[in-house]
Amino acid sequence: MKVANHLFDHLFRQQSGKMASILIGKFGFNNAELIEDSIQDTFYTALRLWGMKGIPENPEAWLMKVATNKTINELNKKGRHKELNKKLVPIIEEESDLIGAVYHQEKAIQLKALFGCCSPLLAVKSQIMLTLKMVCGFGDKEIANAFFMEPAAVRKAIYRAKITLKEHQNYFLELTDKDLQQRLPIVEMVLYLMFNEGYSTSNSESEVNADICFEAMRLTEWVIDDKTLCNASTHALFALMLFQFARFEARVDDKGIPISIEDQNRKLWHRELIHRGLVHQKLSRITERLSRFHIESGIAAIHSTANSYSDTDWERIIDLYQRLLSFDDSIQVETSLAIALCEYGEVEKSLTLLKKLKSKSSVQFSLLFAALGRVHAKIGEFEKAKSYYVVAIDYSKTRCEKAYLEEKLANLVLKSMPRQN
Amino acid sequence: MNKYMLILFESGDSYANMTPEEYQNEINAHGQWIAELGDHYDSGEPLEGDAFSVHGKDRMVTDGPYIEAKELVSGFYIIKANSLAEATELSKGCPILNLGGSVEIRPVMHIEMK
Repeated sequence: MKVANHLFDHLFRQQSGKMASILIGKFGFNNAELIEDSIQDTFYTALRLWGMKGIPENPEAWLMKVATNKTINELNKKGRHKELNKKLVPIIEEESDLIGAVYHQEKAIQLKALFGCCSPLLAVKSQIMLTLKMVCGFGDKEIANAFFMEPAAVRKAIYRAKITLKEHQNYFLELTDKDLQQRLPIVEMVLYLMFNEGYSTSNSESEVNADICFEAMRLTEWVIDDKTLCNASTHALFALMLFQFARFEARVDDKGIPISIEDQNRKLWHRELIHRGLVHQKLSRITERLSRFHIESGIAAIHSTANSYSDTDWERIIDLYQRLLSFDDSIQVETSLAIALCEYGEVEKSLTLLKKLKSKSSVQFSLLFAALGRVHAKIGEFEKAKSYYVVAIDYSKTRCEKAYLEEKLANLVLKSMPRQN
Repeated sequence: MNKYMLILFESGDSYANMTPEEYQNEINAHGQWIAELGDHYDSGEPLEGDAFSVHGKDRMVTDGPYIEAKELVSGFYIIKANSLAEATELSKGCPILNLGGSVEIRPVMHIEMK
């Protein structure tokens, strides 16, 4: 399975995040930049040495050791080491111990780093970008790619986020268990959005996408493994991710054009992941308080376990979307509700809802017009349907979305042509 | 076969904004190139960036060249080949070329002393 290979494929990226978390955990966030430079320098050294001499026996330990030494050297140069001496001397004297000790608690430190990046002082987008950079080791270019931004803008945003956090020295280490628990909802939201960022087909040409999903899942799994932190909502979130990721391969064609769930090849859905999703969904039920993840994983579970699109339990999906509205009354959710209504046969209700959305929404939202096109096509009003698709294409923001809608329109044109015998 | 020294010239800048992912890909590229060289490969050493230069009769000492310099010797390989032309052909696979670096190929002088 692809996911397992990622561990080796992206060794440097993972080590980068790991080393940053561990070193920042040890030396404080006010040295974050110096630590990042040392890590960058470590990779450069690795490139030079490994490139010519081959890869060391234990690459992870090698990188950690070199990065630690480089960081300590730089701290010494800046005279910053003194302030840390008291805390660090016993560890630094036995360098090999540092690596051992740190490895022992690496998960805990990385988790703290994750919770540190998800600071309420930062905007959600900054929280995600900082997490991707500091905890997951993504480069500015990769983050820029995922967010449709320029690398320079990403650098700036991350820099600003770091300045904000820097005022809270050593903030990773100072987070208490209570802080962590309070931040859990933010962390879950960041992981959720991070996953969606990777899953979104708007930029499916980018190879980073699966990696972002994978990182979000890895971190969520870590939260789950931490018995003091994990909550019913975390299980629901993880279940949602598993259901979605099970369809990762099936959700786009080989050109990166999205395939709607209706047309996906269900044989490509990853059964094992769906099964794991169902296990976590079960675990998520042990609560009185429903989160949006409970509802969304419920919807995803229905899709994942339906034998075919027409077999889908639309009645339950409608109920779940209606409940989701109390968490998120965005136009996306309402549009999805309208489509579910249409599939259930409630075409009138569906159209009324979509028209209401159209009149109240100030933003021209491609998905809404596509939904209008879809519902009209369903009741045989092909001309209206076509004109809605044309508008949807006009408002579509990405190449992939456009191509997807153009295909739908082309099918519609074929359908509406008078049959020639 | 004769020995040839491949002197690698690179600009430190080429690596300034690399992502961890790209570093790893570069290392793989080097490993792959050396594997392709097979028996042609003899040895190689990378060089640190710190440098001093001593000049002329006065033994004047200057800093650098610095790693930021446009072209800096970043390391060398010794390879074995039958001719300078073959060594040059083999050098074309060196991954630093993709990043705008260059390789100077010099035959190691070898004349029987007997």
